[in-house]
Amino acid sequence: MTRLVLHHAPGCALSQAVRIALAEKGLTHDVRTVDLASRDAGLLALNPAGLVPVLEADGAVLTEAFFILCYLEDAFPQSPFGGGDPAVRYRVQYVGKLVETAIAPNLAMLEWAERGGAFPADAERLPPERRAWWRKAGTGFSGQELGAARVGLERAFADCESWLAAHAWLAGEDFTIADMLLAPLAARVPGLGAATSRWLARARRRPAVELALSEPPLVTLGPERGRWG
Amino acid sequence: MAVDVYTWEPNANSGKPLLCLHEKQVPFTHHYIDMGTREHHESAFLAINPAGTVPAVVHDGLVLTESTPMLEYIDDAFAGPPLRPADPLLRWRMRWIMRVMDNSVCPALAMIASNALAAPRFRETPEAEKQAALAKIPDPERRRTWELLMHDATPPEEIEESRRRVAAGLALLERMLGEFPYLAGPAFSLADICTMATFYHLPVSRPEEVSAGLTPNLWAWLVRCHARPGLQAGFAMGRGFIAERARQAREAVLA
Repeated sequence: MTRLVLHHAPGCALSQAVRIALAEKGLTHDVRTVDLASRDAGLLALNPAGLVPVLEADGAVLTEAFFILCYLEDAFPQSPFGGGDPAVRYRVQYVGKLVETAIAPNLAMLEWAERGGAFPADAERLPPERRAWWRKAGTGFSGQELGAARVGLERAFADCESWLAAHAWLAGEDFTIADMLLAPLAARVPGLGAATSRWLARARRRPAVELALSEPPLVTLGPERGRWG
Repeated sequence: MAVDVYTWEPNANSGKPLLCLHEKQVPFTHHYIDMGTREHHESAFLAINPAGTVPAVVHDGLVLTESTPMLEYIDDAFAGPPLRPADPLLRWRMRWIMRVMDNSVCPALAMIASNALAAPRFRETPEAEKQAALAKIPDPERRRTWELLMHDATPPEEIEESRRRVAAGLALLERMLGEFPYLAGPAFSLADICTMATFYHLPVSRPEEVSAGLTPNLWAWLVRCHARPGLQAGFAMGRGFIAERARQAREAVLA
């Protein structure tokens, strides 16, 4: 049996997504809590970008929440949540990309601008692009940047809303890792569309989802937004 | 089981499905979308992909518009040589590399290349014509990018940061290719297709950074990839300078 260790921060949406997957799949694992404000060198040794979640699988270090979910599907195909045919699996990948490149960075940036949060003690030890992203957050994002983030977030959720008006779940008629990934982020967004709100309520009826979402949300600077087009 | 590919040249995102379908040995029809005349922003193409981005692949009515997920779909939906590792950890590695390429390296290269090549072409274009072209771009972020490009207004420090990211990307590839002959392990995979679509030209475009002496692992990988009939057939679909540049790169590494 593979030894799984999850490094997570309570209230971090992408960490919650991985916890949902581990619970839904019934996988035994250890949990290590990372304090993103006063973190020690341990996290940077595992993930130089200083981001959670990180999953260790028999010592191999995996980052990027959606790819961790894909790994769990590939490595533990019993109780599958990866989609039943190629078209559904494409849709899972499509949503994964939408969430990690449009929804997560934009939402984190807007939340940070609105409420601030813990500035990491080790910011100067991060790789250049992460360091620059934190510096930018420290001096404040421009109105143009925040406007683009707002539009990007609205467009991504409009995409989900039009799909969910015709489907029970984000990849089709079954609950998949795409739903696990988006639910913790969507739960933090005010003013969701009608179909998206119904979908979220449906997801929260699953005990693993509701348990993960019961903790207070953590505001932190997420992954960097895309830079060019 | 008709497969229709709407895309430009075998270059970067536009090239990914062309290269992948050839490697998977799946017959398809290529509908050429001329990005030079911004055909991807015209109504005929927007009817297929309202987002106005290439490539788009249509398989038996299913429309695929995200280039990396479509690579996984091609490997998943068709018989042919497997293009993803069976080992779940290597599969994670494949996806991780594709993400670095998609999010960091490719946007940086696109910024550098479009500022060097496309921006000067707009110098003589009347403002009204630029505004009309911009109004056709559905995605606001892409519209903003094109606006900077058309007015040659990309901040120099952004271009400098892009140069840093490309250099960091090359160093990462060199390191990872020291661990395995291909990016995601012992066998050729989608990660190699994704990276070749963007970096096939390294031997001719960056000889001062990439060579058999400076980057032996990357060079050996370029030799292995350029020798593949599938990739060669994909690059041969180019109609102009892309196909020519791919041919020059191949000759440089296979010499």
